[in-house]
Amino acid sequence: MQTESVRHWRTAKLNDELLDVKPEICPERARLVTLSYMETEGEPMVIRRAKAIYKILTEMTIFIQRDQLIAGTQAGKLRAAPIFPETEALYVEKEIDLFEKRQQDRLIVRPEVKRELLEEILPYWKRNNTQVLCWNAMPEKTRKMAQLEHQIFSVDIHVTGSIGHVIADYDKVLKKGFLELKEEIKDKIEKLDLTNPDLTPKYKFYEAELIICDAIMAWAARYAKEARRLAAVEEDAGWKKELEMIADLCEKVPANPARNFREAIQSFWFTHLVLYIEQNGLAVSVGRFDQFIYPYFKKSIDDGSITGPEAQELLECLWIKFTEVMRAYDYECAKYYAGFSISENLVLGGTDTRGRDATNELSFMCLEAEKNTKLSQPNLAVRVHSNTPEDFLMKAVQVASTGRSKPEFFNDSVAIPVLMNCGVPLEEARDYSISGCVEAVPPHCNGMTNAAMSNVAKALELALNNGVCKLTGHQVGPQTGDPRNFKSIDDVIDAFRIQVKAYVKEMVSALNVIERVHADYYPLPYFSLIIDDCVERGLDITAGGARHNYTGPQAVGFADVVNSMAAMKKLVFDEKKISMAEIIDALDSNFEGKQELRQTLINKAPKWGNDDDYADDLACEVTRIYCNEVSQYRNTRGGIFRPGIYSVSANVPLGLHVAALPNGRLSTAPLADGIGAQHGTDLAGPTGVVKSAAKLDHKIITNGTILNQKFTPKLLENDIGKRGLFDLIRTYFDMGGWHIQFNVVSAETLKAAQKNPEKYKGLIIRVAGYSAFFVELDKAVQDDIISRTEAASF
Amino acid sequence: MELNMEQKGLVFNIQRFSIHDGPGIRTVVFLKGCPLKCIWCSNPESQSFSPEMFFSPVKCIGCGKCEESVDACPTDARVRAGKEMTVSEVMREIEKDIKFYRRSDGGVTFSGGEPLMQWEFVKELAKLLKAKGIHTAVETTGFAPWEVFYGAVEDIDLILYDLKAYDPEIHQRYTGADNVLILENARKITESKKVIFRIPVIPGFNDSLSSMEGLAEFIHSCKPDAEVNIIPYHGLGGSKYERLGKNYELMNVLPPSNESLNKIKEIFTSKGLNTEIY
Repeated sequence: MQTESVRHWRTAKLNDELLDVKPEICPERARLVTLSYMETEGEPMVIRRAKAIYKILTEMTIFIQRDQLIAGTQAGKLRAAPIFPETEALYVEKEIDLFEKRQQDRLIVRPEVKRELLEEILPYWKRNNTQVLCWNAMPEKTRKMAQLEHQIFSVDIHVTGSIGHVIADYDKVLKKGFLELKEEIKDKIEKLDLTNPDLTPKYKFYEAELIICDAIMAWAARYAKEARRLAAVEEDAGWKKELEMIADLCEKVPANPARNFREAIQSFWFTHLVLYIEQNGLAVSVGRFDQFIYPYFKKSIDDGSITGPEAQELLECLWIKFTEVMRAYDYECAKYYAGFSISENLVLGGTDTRGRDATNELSFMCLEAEKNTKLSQPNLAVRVHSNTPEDFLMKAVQVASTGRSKPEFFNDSVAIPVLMNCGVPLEEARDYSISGCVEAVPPHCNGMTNAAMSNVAKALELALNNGVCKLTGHQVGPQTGDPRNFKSIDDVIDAFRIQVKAYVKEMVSALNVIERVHADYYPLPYFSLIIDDCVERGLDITAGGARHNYTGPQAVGFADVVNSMAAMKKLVFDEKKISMAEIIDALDSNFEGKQELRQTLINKAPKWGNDDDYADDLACEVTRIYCNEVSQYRNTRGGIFRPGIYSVSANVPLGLHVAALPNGRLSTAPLADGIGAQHGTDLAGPTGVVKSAAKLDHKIITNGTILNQKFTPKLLENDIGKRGLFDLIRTYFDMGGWHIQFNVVSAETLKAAQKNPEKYKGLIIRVAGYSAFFVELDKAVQDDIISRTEAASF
Repeated sequence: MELNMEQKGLVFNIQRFSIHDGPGIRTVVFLKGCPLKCIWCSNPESQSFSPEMFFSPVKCIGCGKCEESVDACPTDARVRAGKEMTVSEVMREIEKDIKFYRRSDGGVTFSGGEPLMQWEFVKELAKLLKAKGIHTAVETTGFAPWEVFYGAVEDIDLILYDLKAYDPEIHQRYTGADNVLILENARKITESKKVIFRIPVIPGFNDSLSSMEGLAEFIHSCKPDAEVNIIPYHGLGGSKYERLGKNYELMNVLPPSNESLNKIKEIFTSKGLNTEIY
């Protein structure tokens, strides 16, 4: 079953060409959407959106990269970032000169591009963008909380960006093609009873869908024509033949059903890429690629129309295309989602809808494609269940051991019951995928799974300062009493709970306003066309058309809160070695002159991540507090809020907003990452970390957790180390853990990469939930990764 | 089964998720005290039979707390190397990773120091682990009277048998001990127990090809298809000497090259021995 391939020359060439690109901003999309909006003023919003997409797809520059077998690029140049003025206008204008200079995700802005954006495009969007619209629509108290100088939560991702975090029904497009989808919509329109007032708005929704079908088919036809044109003048016989093949493919799909593997891959890519042209939300994920592509693969292999090595080569072309997708984040978001991370999560393995193992030959070939490319995308996930074939999991571990920190591993026996508790039927729950980083979603879902990053460490700071922010002196949380008078750890926990309750309420209020703004001003007719049941209901995805709807805000600073509580419980209330007053005084002065006290807090109290119930019981309590608060709320789309505990790279910027804490962490230092141990405190080694993590009730953390374990390459270079990793994953999942990923790299390598980025362009690092190029990260994020404890017990 | 749960041993480390000391995921119990004094020893704190102290000057903030008690040091600049633990205390640590042993066919390894020096303690723990169905291994140099050795390992599943040199003169010079008893016990134990031989390769000390040839010949004569692990020298223990206030003679020795390791491996494999480089 296992196929081992030699890295194809084409893979090497395309991979290098992609890495050589210095990313720049492409103004084409912004220009076309602006012109379209000017032309369509006065028309219903959903029609304006559809017509804008039509204009972009029929007028944007298209090109075919030599030797790339798959057609379709997001912008006018390879790996250039399009601009989405609908949400980005304000920050693009404000940060136009910063893009080239910033520490993180640098983008070139050519002078003519800058001029066009500033003079011709952005002025149109000055008041007509989601950033303005969201803040205007928010109650004043909520807006103030969301815009605090030292934030307790950040909802910016959907203020400056679209919704993202969805997985389209690619299977439907592959099976039917857009011609048939168009016919189905025509049929819907015909059957609409327009005297029924509930149905009136649906007419324009369906009309928009027809425009969308035409747009994507016209776009593909342009590629067919371009490939023919190039083929006619091409002198190299091999590339000429391939261009003709590309032309043939683009003439057929995605208009018609895919008939074989090549058509399925091309159809998939067109379908996927338009999701990133319609809008700029991140983590539009791929889902169960090895499942929905497999029938086409099998057919082509069986009828001999493609050989195994040819299929492998094509997969690798696709793997490289995933990293072409770009977004020009604002600087703040670039820090939160470092490394141009777009998080296109692609899932392998797992069970089928009847609970049987679904691993197939294509699953292995996808791992092989990952091995042979070394890029940040796709964000690769492996679903593990009790009958996962050993050779498949072992191959996944081998790939994870090569220093790219993917695939990540997910536990079916947690996701399926979690989704069922969220109201998903068993068969759909078994068909779950990962949206973005670690969030389990059923098919046909608008998960909003990365709705916000919230700062539980800041909530503890407030609980220890009567609701006053120590960095500004402003009262930003409820008055929970003078901490010097706290008599037991329960007093601390109660104050913390009240602070969490207060900020979660404001965060939910902010998110619900943001969701409404998207529904009113930024409907997504293309998303709605290929995510059920939007077409069936005649309702846009932003307004609740999807079958399943969630909103998922994350807690960040988990270990800092737990370790702070453990230190106070142990040293103040149990052993009475230190008084609350002494701790509070030390925090007020950021431990200035209190080295002995700080060291005692660091070294003489139990720590999360060491399989010590003393700290771990507190961790379970903190989990319950956050999850219960979040889970009680409902969103605007008829769905629920789902709490997550992970940080991606937000633990660094959110740390800047938090004063000193009783775990000995200094003011503004980075917070701990995901549910992992605080840096340098996981002294019991990986089994200790994993056992602590497994004690959390992962079934109430319904939006997921990230457990990021770093290993040195030395440990994993031989089979013993890989086997150890394999058994570590298996045991963590036996015990009920949800997610684990491995960062396999030495600190020396990372330091060298900081000094000589040009020598390490291809060095991939997992920044919490996803992969990025290390050399493209902010220096503070790089430093943070370097200082993370290495598993030193080997 | 009669067990003495209060039996005490001098332990200097209990290391979880150890994957290079026997099969699967293991917990290694390091016992303090060794009759040998190998000059390359990577665990210098394992040699003495009494508790010692590590001191890291860079961590010291000069608070003077250590004058009351070492354990009061807030920065862990001073930490004890070695503490007395009872059988039940050690068992509590071991049982933490029982799920990992089951999943990985792992278990517990006694190392040191020389575990045989605390044979009563090892014997009690081994009996208890056997009753719980947990796989056990002991890493030993076999330098004990046969009766003591055999008695201690009666309930042990796997012997990781360290052989440092075949030439008695080299052995004496670098380990401070005679190897006659070691070789004799090695031969005997292979008759009744599963044994993996472990050969440290210390460049410039025991790594001459003729010396390795001698070891390979000896092992082959004990068991023609025995398993052999080649353990390359590493300098990771160097900083520990400094913190113990001891002198490390191998400060400038580099780990052996892959080329030299492969040559050594070839010597063993050519004798039919099942050899791995660790």
